[in-house]
Amino acid sequence: MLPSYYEFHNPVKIVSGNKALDNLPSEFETLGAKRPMVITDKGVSGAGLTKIFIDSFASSGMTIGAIFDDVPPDSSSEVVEKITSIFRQNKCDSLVALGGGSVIDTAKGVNILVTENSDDLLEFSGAEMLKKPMKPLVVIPTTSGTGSEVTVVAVISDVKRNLKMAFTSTHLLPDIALLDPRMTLTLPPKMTAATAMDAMSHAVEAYINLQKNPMSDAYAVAAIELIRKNVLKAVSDGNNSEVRLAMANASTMAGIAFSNSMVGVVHALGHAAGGICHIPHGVAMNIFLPFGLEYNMPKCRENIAKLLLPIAGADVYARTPEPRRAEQMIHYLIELRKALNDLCGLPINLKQAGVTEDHLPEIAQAAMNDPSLIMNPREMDVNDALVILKKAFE
Amino acid sequence: MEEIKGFSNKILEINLTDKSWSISEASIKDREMYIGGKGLGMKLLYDRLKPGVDPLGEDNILIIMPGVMTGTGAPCSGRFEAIAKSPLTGIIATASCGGPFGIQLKTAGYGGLVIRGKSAHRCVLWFDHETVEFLDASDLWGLDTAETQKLLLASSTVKNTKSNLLDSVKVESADSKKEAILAIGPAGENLVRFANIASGHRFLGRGGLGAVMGSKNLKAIVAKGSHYKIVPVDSELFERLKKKANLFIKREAVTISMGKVGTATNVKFVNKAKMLPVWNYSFGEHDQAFRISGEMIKEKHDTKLNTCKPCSIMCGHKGKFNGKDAPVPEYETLTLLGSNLGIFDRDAISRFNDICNRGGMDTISAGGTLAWVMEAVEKGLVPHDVFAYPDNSHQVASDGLQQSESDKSAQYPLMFGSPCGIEEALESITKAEGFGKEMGLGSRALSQKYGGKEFAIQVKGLEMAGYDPRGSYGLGLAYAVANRGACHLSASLMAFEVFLGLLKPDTARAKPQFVKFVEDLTCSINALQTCHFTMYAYTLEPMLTKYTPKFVLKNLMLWLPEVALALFDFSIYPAFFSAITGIKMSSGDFIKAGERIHVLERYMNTREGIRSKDDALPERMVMETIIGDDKKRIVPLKEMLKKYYKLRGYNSDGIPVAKLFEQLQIPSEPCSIA
Repeated sequence: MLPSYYEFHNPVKIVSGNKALDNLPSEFETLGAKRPMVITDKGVSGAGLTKIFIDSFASSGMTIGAIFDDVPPDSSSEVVEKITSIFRQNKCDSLVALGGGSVIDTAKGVNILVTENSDDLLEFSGAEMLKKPMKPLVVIPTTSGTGSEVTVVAVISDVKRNLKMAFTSTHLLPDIALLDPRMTLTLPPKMTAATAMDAMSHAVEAYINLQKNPMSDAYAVAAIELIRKNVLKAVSDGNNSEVRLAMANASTMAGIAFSNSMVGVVHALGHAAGGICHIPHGVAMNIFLPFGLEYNMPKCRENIAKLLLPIAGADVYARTPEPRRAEQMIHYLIELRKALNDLCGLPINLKQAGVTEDHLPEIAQAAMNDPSLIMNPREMDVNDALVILKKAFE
Repeated sequence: MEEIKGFSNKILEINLTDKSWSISEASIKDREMYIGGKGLGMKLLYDRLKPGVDPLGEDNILIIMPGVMTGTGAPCSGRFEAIAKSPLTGIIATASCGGPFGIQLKTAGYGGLVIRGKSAHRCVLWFDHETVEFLDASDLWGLDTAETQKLLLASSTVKNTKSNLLDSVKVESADSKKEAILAIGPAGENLVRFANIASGHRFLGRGGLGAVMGSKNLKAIVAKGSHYKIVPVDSELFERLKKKANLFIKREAVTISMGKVGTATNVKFVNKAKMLPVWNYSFGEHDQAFRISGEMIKEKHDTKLNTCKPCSIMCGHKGKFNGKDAPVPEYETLTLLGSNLGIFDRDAISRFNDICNRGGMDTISAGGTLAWVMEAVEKGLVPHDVFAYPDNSHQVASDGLQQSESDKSAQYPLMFGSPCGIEEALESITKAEGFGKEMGLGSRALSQKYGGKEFAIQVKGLEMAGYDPRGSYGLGLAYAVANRGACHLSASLMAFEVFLGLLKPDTARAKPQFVKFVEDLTCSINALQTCHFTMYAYTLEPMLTKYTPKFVLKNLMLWLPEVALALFDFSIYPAFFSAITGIKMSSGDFIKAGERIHVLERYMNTREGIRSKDDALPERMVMETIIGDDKKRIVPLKEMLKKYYKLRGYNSDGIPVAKLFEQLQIPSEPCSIA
């Protein structure tokens, strides 16, 4: 049944293909930009990806205004300010984010300052505080998981003031998400698996929570199916371009899905565990996803059951009796986690991820304040959170 | 220690009905013609077993045979054979085992053990080189195979304790290393048609020989051997052959990988060849198959050797599963209780394996039957509420998730891809409780009652092993004509077609010739009684085959199979026979003996009613393609069968003709031994 009312917004142009990067100069031309600034990190440059990017500009006649390749793992306001200054000095007119979540959020932050002609991010923090159309921003993800290339969100730390600033605005949406498999070929197996399960958690939570809608459902289902078909190959045979491109597409689709329908308890717990015990986000998603689904089952059994189709395939779905589909969906997810654990050691419980049991109450408490809970199908209290955490512990 | 030069032809004959025993003598001629092990055992059975007897009745006869090599210390010779009429198939069942019983039987001075009749009371048969005892087994009844063996080995006064075996278990026995046990578990006691017999941690697996013991009220057999030393007649030649054999084993690829990771090494080959059984042979590959591969098991489960003794290949392993030591499940178990049920969780498969091993039943038939039930429930042939478990434990998935109260899954306790209910189902089979009692009859019997014969993956009542023949046509023919049913060891063509890549798998060409050759060679190997896996090392490492360029060998095998077969040098086997027994045997004699054994077994089966119509594969293999198979392969059985009969000397109904009996010097009438 269709919801009586919903909104869905995704104006990001997707440019996807084995040599998609080669089309970038003409895409900038279309956007009216002539001097893009490239924001990336040492890891990306070290893996030779920045060079591939530069080479793709070589014959175009277009000039790269500046390159900054020292974005730290956690995006901070200091770095944003530093890059903003370089952008201005070099008279750049557009941005390229080449990297993972931190690089993309940093680029979004830079875009806020250069567009608003400001030096203080804090004044724009919050929901829909940005009013002006922003500079052209092209995002080239080098991981397949965050979906930041298609989301309205950026999270940036203000180290001096000890704040974590969240920005949400449709203006933050990039103009182009460029998916080129060459950008993820060198991603190590464990990181590939963790980011893939991040994308999986986006798609699955998008499909079961309260703000779901037919558009987000379509993206979520397609993303899950692509992940199922490709994730094990991506982890075991990282050099396979076809598989890498599929995973990049899945991640973007999952991003579109969750940015329109929001996420739920899995993300709430994941953010809390990440904040307190510094578990990488993808690892936390991998750990909590089946337990979050199990918790939500009484409120959304039918939706979970429907996800058996993309996560296990048509044969399995058709041959599984309807009353068993929801449990089977979770079972298939659990088996997928075990397979990933076998392949690359991706932790499947909190203990393996280095969390000690005495941290669980603190994580449960922190999760209660996470905005992800707002659209979760089942209202979670701190005791429920603790029960889930204990199940996920060992 | 007294010596036996070569072999003993003394056969220990037991009658459980009147608790009597005697010793008979096998003839030298039979030794020459049938070698020992499976061969001589078959002849002993032929001379004693009347056609048409009830496999679970008093008249069935169970024969346990050591081989010529058993006890000599030759490489891979810790094996023995059992033969009887099968309660699962109604025809002859043979099974080979690498447990310790064979050596103790032989070093007690016997060349064979024949068990007839039925004991009025539950008993244990105990014997040494000079006497036989029939002990009360009331206290052992109901115990699993491991507990039974442990208690019997711990008892120092077994021989003298006729009233209560358990009274004596506290005394550690100095003699325990000289004793070995054959024991059945609850499955055998409850006449599960695919119950097996344990010896140590190895099993006489197929055909339900455990139920034959159960039907005779025979819980266990204890052999106290180590009285005789088995000495080869030509020890100098024997030592040279041992060195050569070990060299071959150390160099050959198949045996090397068996030693490194065990039979589970086959998973990767079979999955790649798209012939891995998945969902009752609906699919031929799975993207999670790597989880049950030998290589992954070795990496994740801290595996160590756990082999038959003596052994040079060392395929048996144990490792940590579910936090404790357990045998690494063999390839067949990983597929039939794993992939074929849609399960890739190694710890779960280890638990299923443990239930089967302790309960004493064949993992292949148990798994094949479970897969049939899953498909039959799915198709609505078997009502999904047939399972009535005493508690709700099956609602907890193996991953620890407690399913919600609204869960209706209890109504569908067995389904592909889910471990839920499998452990309870296996337990219910061993205990013959509820629907488990029906499952204990095997997939053929179930399909006869409920319908669904087309997906009962069995031949002649024996559930198929873990290789889909649509990926290996030669194996398809071998399954169809194997004497004991869908057996992968009668002629392991998948090794030549898939693992070694020597014979094109998806063609009928040359398959009848190779099936016949490998069947005959296998029979001789099982008569000499050494490990099946020596076949690759002993035939491929000799110079002629080793140094023939592979492409030449492959083309010869496909286009001129008779010429290619002449290149296979297996002379080390008859050389071992000659060195041990002092009886001259050529390669020709050896393969002829294998043919004789095979044809005799076939003839005995035709006396039980087997005809050409029974040499059939499940419909799925000849009518349906594997889902997603681009090549649309189905086994071209008819084409191969006709040629095979001709090569074998069978008539068009699959019966050996009189001329063949003359050629092979098989007596058309048994020398009736009452």
